[in-house]
Amino acid sequence: MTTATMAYPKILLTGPAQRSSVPHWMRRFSPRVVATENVRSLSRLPELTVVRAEAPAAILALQPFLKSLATRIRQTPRPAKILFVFDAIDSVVDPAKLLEVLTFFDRPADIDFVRLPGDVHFRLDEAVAKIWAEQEAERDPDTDPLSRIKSVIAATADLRMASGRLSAQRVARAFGLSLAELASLLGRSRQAVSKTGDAESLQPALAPFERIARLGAALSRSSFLRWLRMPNEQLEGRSPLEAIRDGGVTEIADLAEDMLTGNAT
Amino acid sequence: MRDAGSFEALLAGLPARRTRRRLVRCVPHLDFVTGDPPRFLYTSGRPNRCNPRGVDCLYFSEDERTADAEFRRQWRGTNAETQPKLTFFARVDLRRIIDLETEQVIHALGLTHDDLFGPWRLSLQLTPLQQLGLAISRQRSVAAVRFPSAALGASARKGWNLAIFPLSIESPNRVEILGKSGDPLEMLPRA
Repeated sequence: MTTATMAYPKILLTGPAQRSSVPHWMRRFSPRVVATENVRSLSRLPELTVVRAEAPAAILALQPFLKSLATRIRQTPRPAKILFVFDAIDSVVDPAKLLEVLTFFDRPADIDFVRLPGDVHFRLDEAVAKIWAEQEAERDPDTDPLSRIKSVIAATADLRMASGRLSAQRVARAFGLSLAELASLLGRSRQAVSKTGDAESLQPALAPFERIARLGAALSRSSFLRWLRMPNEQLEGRSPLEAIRDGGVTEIADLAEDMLTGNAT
Repeated sequence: MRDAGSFEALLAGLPARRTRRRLVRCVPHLDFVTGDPPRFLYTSGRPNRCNPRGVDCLYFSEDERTADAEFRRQWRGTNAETQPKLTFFARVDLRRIIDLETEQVIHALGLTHDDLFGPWRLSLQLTPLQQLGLAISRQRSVAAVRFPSAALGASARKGWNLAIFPLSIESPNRVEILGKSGDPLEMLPRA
């Protein structure tokens, strides 16, 4: 990813402590300044909304404003974040007050707090970087939402060595295959695979097996092994393992992902 | 000859219609809800009945019964068939879709029963429906294909699915994944 040509996201500056002039720490972003009472006239929020207030209590005193913000961020496609900047907060922050603010929002992970002068520059840069990352992920066709599901990650964790690489021995065991048979499916000799089962050169060939093994997130081991070997109407009556033996490992990995993502077929 | 080129030429003259309705998809429960965050409008370019590899497409069913049948078909014979599942909903407004329930469309495209219901996963060539999807992905007028559910193909009551082509979704077309209180969690076209 390159950020050299990435534009700053659109930023809205609002809040009870916000005057008409843009504070020095926001000038490089050229934000649009909107008075709190005018937020309700917006249909959506931009990627980043910065809300200035004296303290959490000052925000909580403006419940209609908070509700307007919450409604609008809900209507805004991601990435969309809100950064609350507090001007004169006490040294001790009552987390219950922050929680009270967060409860207005459906996506608390998109809400952040910072106090002045503190590290406001850094927190703004962090918010911008996260927005860029989300935008980039949106564009990246290889981004794989299943890889963010904990149970899916757990289902294939034991296929990897401490090095993080997939192990042919472990894949063979997970699929109920002998190492010789897996080696043959990978187009390698048994000796080569058994000597360096997690070789870098084997990783691309092992990757579709990992995609298939993700079914372990929804299937017990015995059920997974049974599924691999039972006739499947979508495979013209062949079993997934037969299709893999016929060179269709990618097609079976596609099938597994359709099962996990619920695609009608 | 039923290839993408010939379908592309046919598309402009095919009767298309608008659809405004709720759509449904069922997925295994897993921990989708607590994921970080779920991306319901994710497309991978995986091939499917109405799209070849490399063409992004979203698949939904028109009602819960069909979505459930599609889910059960995928997991048939496993212990996941009767495990908890997650049902999510989309609201779509698509101005021009190709409806494969229309006899005139089926006839014009020369589609057979096997094209609509037959297995496609191990096909060495693009199927006619995949060719049609490829043709649709090359234009911006038609946004989706409505096709019969193979999961309910043998049942007395038919069910219908929609294959939506995200890159063909331009305003005023709209696809929204519904969250709490019907508010959209994700939408197309992206703002």
